[in-house]
Amino acid sequence: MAPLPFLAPALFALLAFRLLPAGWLVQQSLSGPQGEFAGLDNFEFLFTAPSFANTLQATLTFVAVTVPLQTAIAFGLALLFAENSRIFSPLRVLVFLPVFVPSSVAAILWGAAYRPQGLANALLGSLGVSAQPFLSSPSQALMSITVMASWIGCGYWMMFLIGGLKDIPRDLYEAAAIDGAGKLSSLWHITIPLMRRPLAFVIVADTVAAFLLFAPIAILTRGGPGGSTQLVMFDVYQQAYFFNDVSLAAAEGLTLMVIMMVIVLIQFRLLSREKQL
Amino acid sequence: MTIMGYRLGRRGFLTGMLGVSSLPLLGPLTAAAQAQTLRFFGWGDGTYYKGLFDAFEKVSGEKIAFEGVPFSDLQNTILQRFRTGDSGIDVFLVDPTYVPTFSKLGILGDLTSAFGEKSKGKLFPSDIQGANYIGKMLTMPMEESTQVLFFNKGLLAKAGVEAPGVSPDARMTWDKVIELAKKVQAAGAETGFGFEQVDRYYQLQVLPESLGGGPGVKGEDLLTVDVANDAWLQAGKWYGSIFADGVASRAPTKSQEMRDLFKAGRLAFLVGGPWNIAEFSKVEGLDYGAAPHPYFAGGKAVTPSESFHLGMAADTKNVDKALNFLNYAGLDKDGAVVAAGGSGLSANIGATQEILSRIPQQNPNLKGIDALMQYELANTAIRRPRTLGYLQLEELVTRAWSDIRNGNGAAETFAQLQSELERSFKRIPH
Repeated sequence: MAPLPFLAPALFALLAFRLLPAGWLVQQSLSGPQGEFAGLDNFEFLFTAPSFANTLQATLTFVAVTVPLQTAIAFGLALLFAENSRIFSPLRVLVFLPVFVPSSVAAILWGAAYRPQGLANALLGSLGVSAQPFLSSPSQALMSITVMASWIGCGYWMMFLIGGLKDIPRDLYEAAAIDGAGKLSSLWHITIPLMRRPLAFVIVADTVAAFLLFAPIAILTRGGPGGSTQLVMFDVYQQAYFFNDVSLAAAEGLTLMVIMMVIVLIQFRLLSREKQL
Repeated sequence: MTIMGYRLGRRGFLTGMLGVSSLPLLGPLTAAAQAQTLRFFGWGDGTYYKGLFDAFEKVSGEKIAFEGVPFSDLQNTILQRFRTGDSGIDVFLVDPTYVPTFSKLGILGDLTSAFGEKSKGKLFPSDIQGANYIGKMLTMPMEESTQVLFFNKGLLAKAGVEAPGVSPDARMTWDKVIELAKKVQAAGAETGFGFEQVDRYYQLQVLPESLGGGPGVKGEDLLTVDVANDAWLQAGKWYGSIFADGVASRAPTKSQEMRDLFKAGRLAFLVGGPWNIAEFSKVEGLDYGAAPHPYFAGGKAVTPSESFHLGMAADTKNVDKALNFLNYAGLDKDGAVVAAGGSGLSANIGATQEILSRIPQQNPNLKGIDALMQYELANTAIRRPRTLGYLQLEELVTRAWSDIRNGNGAAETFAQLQSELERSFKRIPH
């Protein structure tokens, strides 16, 4: 019994802030608009709605593009900036700086940059590229949000990967160099296998973050144009807080949770397979 | 562990932790202590209603505490605040289209015995009608609205375009306005034409309505969706075309941006509300006039109307103070004039007459606008539909207009809107 008082605050927090809300979510998702038990009606309504299929498609596209892109860029930046030097240290700070900008503020800044006469088109114009519609085009809006999210995300994930790189013992590289291994060969045979754990963390955490992206959508596009940026989190918010349909929002939230858990489990499986050096 | 010589034991530590973690439970106590002040919930930072609060304090000695959220989040925030139980709100702004929804949720206090009879003859009948739902008066109509076509005289003169007249007989068709706007733009104006409230249902309902297409819902309970008819399609095509042509700009998406564009002399024509007059008239060098709201050739002239009402929270402990405030802002003529915020219109007939008569006195350029607005309120004003589906209708229709502004085809957008609204309405408990 002795450890119980020490564990109590954590157990209480787990119960109050995780398990009870999750239980409430399940209960709500099985209720009708008036609070009555409705079985799987909400899920049936969701999965027969073409609009929800679009929402899922947009969300999965966003995750499928954003996570590999951010992870690859963050890994590249980490390799570049892992060494302390007079040139790289200040650059590393610059890449990391956007993390301190709240996502709502970042959304407003990027919203201004994406305007027809904004900074992005001015830069493209100086390169001889014609003006782009960005957030007002159904084919460009989601990718514009991806670029914005990556501006913040890459620097953030880079820091975790730099931490991982610094944990790799130097003598492995020295031994490889003595054996005649080049830089690429060292990267492939030493760095990447030993970065498996930090990379797994970054991929899983980035996947969750991408699924839960909300502020830029709510501020910049509100799901448009043409539903192209209607991601699940915004849809949940809209159902619950605009249309006052909490049970449908709960069903959507639960669906999102299940999809996320499945994807994260697959990622864990794939990434935890130890590869023999 | 010792703190300032006192040894903190395990029991003391745990008791302290329990005490600190219980602090939030004291919240209701502070709320009770604040119950003396009337708590008002609205949009923005409160500047717009400061004059009203100050005037009310002068006549009653009562202070008002303002709390606000962005305009577009107002109604849904109110819903959420009341859903949590202790809303911390006594009096709040109500868009009258939400009266059915708020009534169903039991948010609004019943005002029938306090004001049902008293308001007759003092307020516009259409506003009283908007405040009543299933036989009860649930809100106090406060503001009224209409829309006019503002134009920049300097830009028009530069293009050799004659300034349009202010009489209802001089009402132009949309095609004519766009033709003139293009001319002014060709002569150097940055943007030819714009609507103040970009994509909003309130602002654009008139487009299909002018063509006889209805408000988007029909049937006895207004829960049958009707947004894919020919009139909506024609209105949608026209709306998309003005942005595709470049005579209207896709860049500004907020009302304030549209107003700023007009104030900066970069916009030739702006369809906007009379509340702008006070702001526009302060801008040095802005020579502007107003003309009747346009209509579609072959269609009828219709104008947006209605504005905010005041609601009293059903669970407020400050009933007397709240009723006193509602009486002042709605039924007391002097209070209603102040509540209209300078050049906005009031639901109070006497107050609106006074406000209208002041406008041309203060702005000689706007001679005749008082008669025009009175004409619009009496003859062309339409209301937004009172339906339990208004939350969905407003949000999804506004989004559809936005998609069309951004280049989506009207036919596919409204077809999709029709099916989305139909599905959405199925979730509304009748």
